[in-house]
Amino acid sequence: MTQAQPLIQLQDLQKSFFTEEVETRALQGINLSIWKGEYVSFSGPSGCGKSTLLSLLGLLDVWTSGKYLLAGHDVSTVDRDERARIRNKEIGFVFQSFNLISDLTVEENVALPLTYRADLKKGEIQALVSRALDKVEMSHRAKHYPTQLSGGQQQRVAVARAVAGNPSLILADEPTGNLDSKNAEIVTEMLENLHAEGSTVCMVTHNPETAARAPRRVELLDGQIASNIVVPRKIPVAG
Amino acid sequence: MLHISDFKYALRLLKKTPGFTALTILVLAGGLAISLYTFGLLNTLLYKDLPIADGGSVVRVVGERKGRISTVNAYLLSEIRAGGIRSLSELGAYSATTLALGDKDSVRNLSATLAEWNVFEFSRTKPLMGRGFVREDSTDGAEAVVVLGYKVWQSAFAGDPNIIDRSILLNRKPTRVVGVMPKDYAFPGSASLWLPISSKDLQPTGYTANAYSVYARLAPGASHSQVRTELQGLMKRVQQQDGRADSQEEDLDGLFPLTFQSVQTYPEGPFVFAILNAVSLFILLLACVNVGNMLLARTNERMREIAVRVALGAPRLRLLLQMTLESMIICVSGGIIAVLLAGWALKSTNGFIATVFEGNLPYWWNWGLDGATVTAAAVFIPLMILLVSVMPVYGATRINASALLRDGTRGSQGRTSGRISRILVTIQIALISVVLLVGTAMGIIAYRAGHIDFGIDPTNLLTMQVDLRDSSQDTPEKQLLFYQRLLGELRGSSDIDAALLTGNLGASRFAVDDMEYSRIGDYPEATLLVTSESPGQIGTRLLEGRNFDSRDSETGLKTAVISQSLARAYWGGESALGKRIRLLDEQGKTTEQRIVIGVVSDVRRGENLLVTDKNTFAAIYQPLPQAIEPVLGVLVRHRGSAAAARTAMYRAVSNVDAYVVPGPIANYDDSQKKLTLVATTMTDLFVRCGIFAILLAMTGIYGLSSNTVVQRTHEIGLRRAVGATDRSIIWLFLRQGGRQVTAGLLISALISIGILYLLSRFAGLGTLTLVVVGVFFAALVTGLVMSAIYIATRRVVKNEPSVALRYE
Repeated sequence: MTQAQPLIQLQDLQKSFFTEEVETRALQGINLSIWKGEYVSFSGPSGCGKSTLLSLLGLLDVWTSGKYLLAGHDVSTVDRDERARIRNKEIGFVFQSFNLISDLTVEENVALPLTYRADLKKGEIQALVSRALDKVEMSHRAKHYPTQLSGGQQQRVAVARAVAGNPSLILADEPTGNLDSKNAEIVTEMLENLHAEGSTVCMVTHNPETAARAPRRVELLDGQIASNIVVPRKIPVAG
Repeated sequence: MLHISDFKYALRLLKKTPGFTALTILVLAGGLAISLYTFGLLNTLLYKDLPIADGGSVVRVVGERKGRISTVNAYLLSEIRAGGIRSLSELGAYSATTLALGDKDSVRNLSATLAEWNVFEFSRTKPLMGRGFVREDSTDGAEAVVVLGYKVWQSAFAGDPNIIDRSILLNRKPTRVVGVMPKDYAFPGSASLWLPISSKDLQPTGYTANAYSVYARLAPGASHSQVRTELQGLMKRVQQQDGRADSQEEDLDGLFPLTFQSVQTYPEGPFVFAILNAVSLFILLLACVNVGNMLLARTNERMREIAVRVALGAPRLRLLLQMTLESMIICVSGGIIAVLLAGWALKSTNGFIATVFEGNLPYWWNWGLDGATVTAAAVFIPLMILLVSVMPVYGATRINASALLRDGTRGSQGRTSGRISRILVTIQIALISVVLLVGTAMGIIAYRAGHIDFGIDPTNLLTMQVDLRDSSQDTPEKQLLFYQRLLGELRGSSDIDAALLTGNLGASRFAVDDMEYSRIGDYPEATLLVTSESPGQIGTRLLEGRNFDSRDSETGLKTAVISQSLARAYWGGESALGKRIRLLDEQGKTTEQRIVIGVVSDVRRGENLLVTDKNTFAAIYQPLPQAIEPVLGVLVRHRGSAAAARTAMYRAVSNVDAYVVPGPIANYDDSQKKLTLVATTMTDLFVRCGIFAILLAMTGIYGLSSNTVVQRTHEIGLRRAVGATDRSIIWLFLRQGGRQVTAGLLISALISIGILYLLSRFAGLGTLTLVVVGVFFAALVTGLVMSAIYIATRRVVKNEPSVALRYE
């Protein structure tokens, strides 16, 4: 991939939901390019399609029509196993409701995506987990279960899980939606730090202040891009 | 606290999902009906009060010898009376016999009870007509009197209203009818006639040949253990004072009270009762777990609604009651259906048993929806409510309303909830495996008992008993002559193909050749029989040597024919012919020696159809001329019709001695079938219950296993979001399911081994069969759980991860 080639390229991407013969068009022809190292916020009113768009970016769902190129590769035609491999290696998710598995300890949760990689040995996984937990300052809670943590701590663990495998893309869906302002600030800073370290971050948020901190802000309305603003002071990092 | 609106709401919810409601009610009704039916059936068989006035105080006083129930010698009985057992208020003796009604032109065999004169007063029953016995009826030299049963009054005397004081012939002796008992009266046992026992027979000065069954009533406030203590003390005292019982019998090992029901099922009855009830309760528990799990799944679906109620300030107790209401409605509805079903089944059993036993059944065998069964239902239903409610209520109490209202259910399954689900699956697997394995083991036992090969070809076989004790054939010489002439008559009949006389003298200790043992108890035992020569194909099959013939006369060489099992056990591959067998008395002294002249096929002996051991087929046959017995069985194989053969048999006896009354003639096959009837009925019951249990198990375990996967839909979505492939997720869930199956099977193995060990104490269980059955059911349960997990996981992973993550 060269600098001229975006990490993400969406061409007339459409997504419809069908319920009892009623078609709901969640996304109506999205055209968007995101370069490696960008920090993009997606905002808009409820039901505008921002979370749906994030799901498609993360290959959590399939689109109805259009084209999605990830790092130059058309992922519209890849099979389920290949999509799983891409999610595992290239993408890290941070959800609004943390989505930690309550039966697994903090370190097991962080290790979860790494355990699906055949190329990593146990020691390597352990090292990556330690590093990720250090990064979010949660090493001291490694043996705890999610239910023993506060909401902010759980979200920090979720961030650690998202970054443990060094993905090229971090997708965050309302990462601060369930947090108090102090914890929301911590998580937002973490995402900014990840961006500063070179990660590509795409974040869906309702919060205008959080959205405003992203160098690039995409606003959606009724399944379409209403505005796409790039703040000049933020320069994309070369690939 | 409980509002009518809550009740209406619960009804509305149930109405909204009629399939779910019907299924849960039916599952519980089925499980409870099986438990109630089993309980009602066995309770009547074993524990219910006798259906006579104050039946709860009525007992039988029984002796015990070598673990078997025995009658009480008349002398010991008289000592009991003299000793005055304070814990017994009334006492009486009886014995059953068969009497011939009418003269030789129209003779009819009837079951009769020889009872002490107080028998009708004891049972608090007045005759329908005439009177019962009075003390004078039993005095020496008193006029012979009889009380008729209702049925025989109707059938033999056409309900003659003037029957009282009429003289009838019983065993050719004129006997005056003094009373007729009411319809269905049957104390102390089913009988057509009652005659008083002579008081002389009941007051011997020492041990006599007379032994009786004894009925008694507990004194007010007295317990069984008090009676036992008193009786045991008296028995020991009499034994010390008078030495051994008599030359023919060993001393009793015990003397104690038992209910009439317990005597019939002694000694395994209570144990079988406990095991069968345990199995049926396992089925009920299984049903409750299934329904509880379905309600738990429903509660999970209603979590948001519950959270809203919490947010609106619903009091905790009202919330819990509301959660329980649904279970209560389901359990009570299921309970009512179960009671009706069980009542119907018990009533049907009554009719079925009455038909197959042709009326000769213990009179307390009267099943129906009785107080005890309804009480059991009243106990079970609240327990069911508790069992099926506990999981949904627990789930509802653990709710985090604020989190739920904020996030919906967009969090993975709670840790505790997940653990409960896994524990439920493990318990379910353990329960199912125990029910399947123990139920099948009991089914196998019942099947084996119901399909026993008695070792004799039953085709065209008729049996009859001849009793020469009260006849003019009163010496062994006369008796032998009678038997020889009888055989001649039978074999001369064109309707009879072969005839044989045989008698069972009971178990006897013996020794082969010069073998000696240090203790009498170490000497082997075999059934000692006497048999006539048998030139035709009847009875046992000759395998080696010869059958008895004219050489085995009373003055000839003492000979014996032995069973194949006995020959194998003591001479192995060597021929047993010409070997010596010593018959021993109770002290271990040799009473006679016999030379083996033949080996015949095995015939099953003994009443216990459940156990096959080294004594089951061990038999020593003696030739009739060398061991004359006054009571023998006649075995006949007929050529043409059975009716013609029956006439020929009666005619043969009459031709030899017109005053000898032959016993009733029975079809050999029918009599064997009656022996196995209870077993075949039990097999049938097990099969029906087993089918329900298997259906319950299969649907339950399938539903529960797949539900545990569905509950983890969100987790599956998350795993897929972080890169898990479909295969890896399916494999992960199968591995986890495998651990639950292993744990459940291990628990069930421990429980099953314990139950099967107890079962094996009274019934032979083949280890190999059990292992095969165990492996089969383990594979079945494993297959069910794994396929449920596989199918459910596949269904969940088929969706895109975003759908799974949004799953509520």
